Amino acid sequence: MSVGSNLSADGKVLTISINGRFDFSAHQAFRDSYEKLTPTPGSIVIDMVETTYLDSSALGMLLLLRDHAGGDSSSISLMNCNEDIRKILTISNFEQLFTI
Amino acid sequence: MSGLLDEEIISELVEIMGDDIGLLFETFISDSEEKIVQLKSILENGNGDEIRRLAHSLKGSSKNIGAVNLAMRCENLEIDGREGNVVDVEKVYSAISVDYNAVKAELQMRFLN
Amino acid sequence: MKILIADDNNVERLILAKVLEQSGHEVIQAATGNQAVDFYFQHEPALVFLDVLMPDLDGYDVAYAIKKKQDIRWVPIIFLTSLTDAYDLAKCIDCGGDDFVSKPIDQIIIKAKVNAFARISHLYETIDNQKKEIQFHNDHLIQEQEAAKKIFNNIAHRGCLDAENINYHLSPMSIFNGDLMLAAETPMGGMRLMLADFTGHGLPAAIGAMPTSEIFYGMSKKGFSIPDMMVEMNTRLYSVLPRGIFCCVVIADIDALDKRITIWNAGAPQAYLINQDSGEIALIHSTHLPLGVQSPQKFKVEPVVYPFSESDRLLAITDGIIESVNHNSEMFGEERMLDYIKSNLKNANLCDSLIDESIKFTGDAEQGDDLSLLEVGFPHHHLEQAYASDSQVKELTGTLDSKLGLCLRKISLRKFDPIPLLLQTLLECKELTPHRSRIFTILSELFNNALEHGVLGLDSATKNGSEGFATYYQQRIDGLANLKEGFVQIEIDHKPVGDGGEIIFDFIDSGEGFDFQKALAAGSKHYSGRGLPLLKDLCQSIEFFDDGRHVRVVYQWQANSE
Repeated sequence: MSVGSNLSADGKVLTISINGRFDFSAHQAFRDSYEKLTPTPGSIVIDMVETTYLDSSALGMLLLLRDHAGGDSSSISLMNCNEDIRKILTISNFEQLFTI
Repeated sequence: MSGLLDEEIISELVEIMGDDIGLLFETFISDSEEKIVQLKSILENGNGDEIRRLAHSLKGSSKNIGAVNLAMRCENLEIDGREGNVVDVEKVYSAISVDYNAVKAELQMRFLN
Repeated sequence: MKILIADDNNVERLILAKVLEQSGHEVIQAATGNQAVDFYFQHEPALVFLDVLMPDLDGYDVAYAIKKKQDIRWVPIIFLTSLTDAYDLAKCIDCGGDDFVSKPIDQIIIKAKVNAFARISHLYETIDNQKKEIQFHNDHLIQEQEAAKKIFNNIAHRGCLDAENINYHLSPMSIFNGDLMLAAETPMGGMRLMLADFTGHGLPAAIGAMPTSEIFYGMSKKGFSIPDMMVEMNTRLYSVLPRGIFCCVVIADIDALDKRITIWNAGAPQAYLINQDSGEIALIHSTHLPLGVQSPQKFKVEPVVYPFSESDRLLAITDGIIESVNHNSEMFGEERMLDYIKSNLKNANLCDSLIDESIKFTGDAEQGDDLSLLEVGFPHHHLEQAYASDSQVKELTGTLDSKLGLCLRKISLRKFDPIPLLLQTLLECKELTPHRSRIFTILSELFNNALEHGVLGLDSATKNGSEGFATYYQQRIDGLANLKEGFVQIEIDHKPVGDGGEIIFDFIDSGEGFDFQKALAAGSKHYSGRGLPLLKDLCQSIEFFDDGRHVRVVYQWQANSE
């Protein structure tokens, strides 16, 4: 598992990519990828093209990110989710909170 | 005193033992006295292994107190004993006992009253 | 440091002892091998010097005897040797020695080695202390968990999970996996069940279980509906749980009289409604975010309703079984789950056989501890059961002599369920406690008749069949949303009579009325939905006025009688 992050040149879009299993072991790296940025970028993209699996603690981490980015006024999109991940997100009805 | 005692070792022992230096040499003499007596009868009647053990023990204490010549003679006997190659018993015994008595006299003169 | 020296050569031993004493160590001297072993256990030194050749027991044997019996302490052994043969030196280490120095001894080397071993011993000691500390904390934690488990089990007790229509699998420590299973008999004579899965492990996962089960048992007993109760739970969990911890839940009400199940899934894996006669399996998908995620303003509960009878059962699971992984890293998965259910429709205990199946799949019995399964068949209607434990109150109290009036208009009809309020008010008369199920049923039948058939004009014949069920409840939702005007007026008059009392219920609605004479004459279930036969059973009398828009029933009760 590894977490990478990339801020766009204008500082407005943060892209976080997660490689491998997205579970509790990613906790610290995932937080580090956005917590230290001020101001928080207006738009955050989670790139899951390299993500193989996601568990409920990952859902919790996404909620923490959402809160950090302003809760209901946040703009977070989850990109390139594979079928398994989509299914988990759907079961939890996360499409109501994130753009998938 | 050429070859009888290694003065470097003696002065190190004096430094280590302090006031107990006399006790150390007394111990050496009383232990060795007994071994020299044993050596005579073992050389006459004993087997190679018994010779080797006794020579080894005597060599150890001699080396410790810096009696280099005595130690060397014991070491040679130890090797001969191990190889079952002890010849001229009388000569070997008298050489070791002469050396020992010289060391003993020297120690008594210098450290024991 | 306490150091043991074993050497039969008095001169050598004397010198070594002096060297060590000069460095401030306490020295114990043994002149033979046997003495060395005795002194070792008697004095418990921290370091041992051993001569190889000793007359009785040689150094190798002494080392062996010491190391064999050595306790948790690590005591290094250093051999004194004039041997130079590699084989002999290696033997020193093989028999348990840690190092060797050659004779005659060199005081600088001796001091350096002792210092080195002192450092290593200190390290061992630190590790040992840390190990003890960890052990202590771990024991403490286990003790705390045991205590916490008892507290949790008292609050999150299993209710009526041991009823004969229920099979379940839940590990004793499941609370610390975040799994929670609750079951209660409802005042309507049915059963309410909940399977919840909090994210995370350990105490954080367990903490949400306390308010959740308190709300579950408190509100279920008072007759609150699933939506009312879930709103309350979500509000509480939203305020209590840190962001990132939430609760996936399947909740179901089984109505044993109307033979239907009301069910809602928020974030849990699909639940299965299985009909073993027809082989039909309805999948209850998650339709909402888990509890504790959505703010109370946005939270909305829309359960679905299905017919449910003796040949039906509900199977609810947490993600444990679906996500069990075998040695080839394959997951058990929903497909395998569904296939297994399809080919085992008649199995009386799907719960146990699914656990067996998943253990067979993973080849790891311990994984079974993380699995939670709940299987519920049709419950026996429990309305006729005695409430022996509640009958200890003797005095006539509370609302025994009172009249209560309530009129719900358009907006309140949409939003407000008056039954818990009415029931609670009536039950302020403690003697009524044994009657609460009957009173709940009467209130609920009367109010639903007035609202659904009166105000909304719904035809209960629609309810036939599973399609019709959904249609009917959709019509109810739509009707309420589009309601232009209407009311339900309720009057409840409670008077003491003899040892007990008499309650007169008047329900008046704004609807079209209905042919009550035909319905009463038929006295049958053909006039479906109105539950008239049931009301006639429960009440002393039932009368209609105003073309059926006004119904009056009289319920009489005796103290301490069922």
